[in-house]
Amino acid sequence: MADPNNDYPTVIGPDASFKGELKFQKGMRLLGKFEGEIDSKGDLLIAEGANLAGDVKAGTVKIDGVMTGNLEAAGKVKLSASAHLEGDMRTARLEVADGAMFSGHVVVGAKDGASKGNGQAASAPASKGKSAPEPAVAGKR
Amino acid sequence: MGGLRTAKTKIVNCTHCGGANEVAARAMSVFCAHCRKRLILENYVIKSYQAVKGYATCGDVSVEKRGRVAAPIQSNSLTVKGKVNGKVEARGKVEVASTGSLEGSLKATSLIVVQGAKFDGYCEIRPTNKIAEDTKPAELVAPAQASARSTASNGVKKLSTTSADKKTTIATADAKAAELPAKKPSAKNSVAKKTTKKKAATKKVAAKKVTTRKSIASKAATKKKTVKKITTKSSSSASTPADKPKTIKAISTRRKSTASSK
Repeated sequence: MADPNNDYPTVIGPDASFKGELKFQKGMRLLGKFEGEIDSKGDLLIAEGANLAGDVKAGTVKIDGVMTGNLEAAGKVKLSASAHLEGDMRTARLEVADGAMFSGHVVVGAKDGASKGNGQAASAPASKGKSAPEPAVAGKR
Repeated sequence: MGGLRTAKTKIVNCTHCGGANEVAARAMSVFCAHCRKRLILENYVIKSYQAVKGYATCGDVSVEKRGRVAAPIQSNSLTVKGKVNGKVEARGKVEVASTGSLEGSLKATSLIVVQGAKFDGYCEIRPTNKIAEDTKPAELVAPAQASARSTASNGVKKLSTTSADKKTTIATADAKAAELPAKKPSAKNSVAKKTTKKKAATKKVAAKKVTTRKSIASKAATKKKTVKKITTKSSSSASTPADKPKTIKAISTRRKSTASSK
């Protein structure tokens, strides 16, 4: 990572708290608190100490902090050792480091999932449809 | 003392009860010290489909490209290059290669799913120490004693359990530890007079014990391992005073052996 300001032009600072719907193009760094929806093609970095509650659609997602909600990534999802994620995930690649906490339903590499992650219009109904069958899977266990 | 004198041992967690067992590195199967059930320690390499009810091992499981598994898997680490359909419980890392596909619920400490790989199912990832917390700490201590097969006195056993139980009790354990080394030399005096060198040696061991016990307080994460070390250490030093009533000859030979081991 050459320059975090270049890769992630949008920054929500550590003392900021945001509620609502957010869209961005290039990349965003979340250092503070966020509550709501993120809909983007860009990269998202949830830094250590940051808190995100809500659904996220993004390109590549790197999580160092705490996130609650469903996650849909067209690219890679990376959870570092300090990460804490609760919610369902749909992505093309996944990496969870030792020490990370994660629980939820995961779909990796499903052909429809990857394409839906790219097309935003198609992905919106997908997430709604997905949330319904998820409890059934939990019941199967 | 214990049969596991060779340094090549490893610690595995029982696939049935989760308790820790210290086993020889080359062992292929062992009986759990807690639940007395059989543990398989081998590594499995699955190259084709086999009609089995499930794979349960303390070793690693690798599902090769042509491998197919339609059964639950319990292992230390798991590598999937083929197809797996079933519940997976891994104590370590799970890796799904680009040719692999994994379907079913997953429990692991770390997970990597590379591009091209498929994974569908409920996933729960928790760090290793959190899993250790789930299984009762008392269970984790018991194996240390059993595996060491220590003939140590009751006092030493109590010490090891209290020190492992919780940080709060460590202070009292320390006090006991201080008492123990003090008692040892006096007991020796009553049986036979020995060189001051040997005294110093035992005191050194005692001092080591105390320091290691203190280090436990700071390193809660490495609790398990250090406790195990302590039990073996303390049993080596404590067995001498405990077996006092035997002949002086036997004692002197044992001394030599302990001194040489240092």
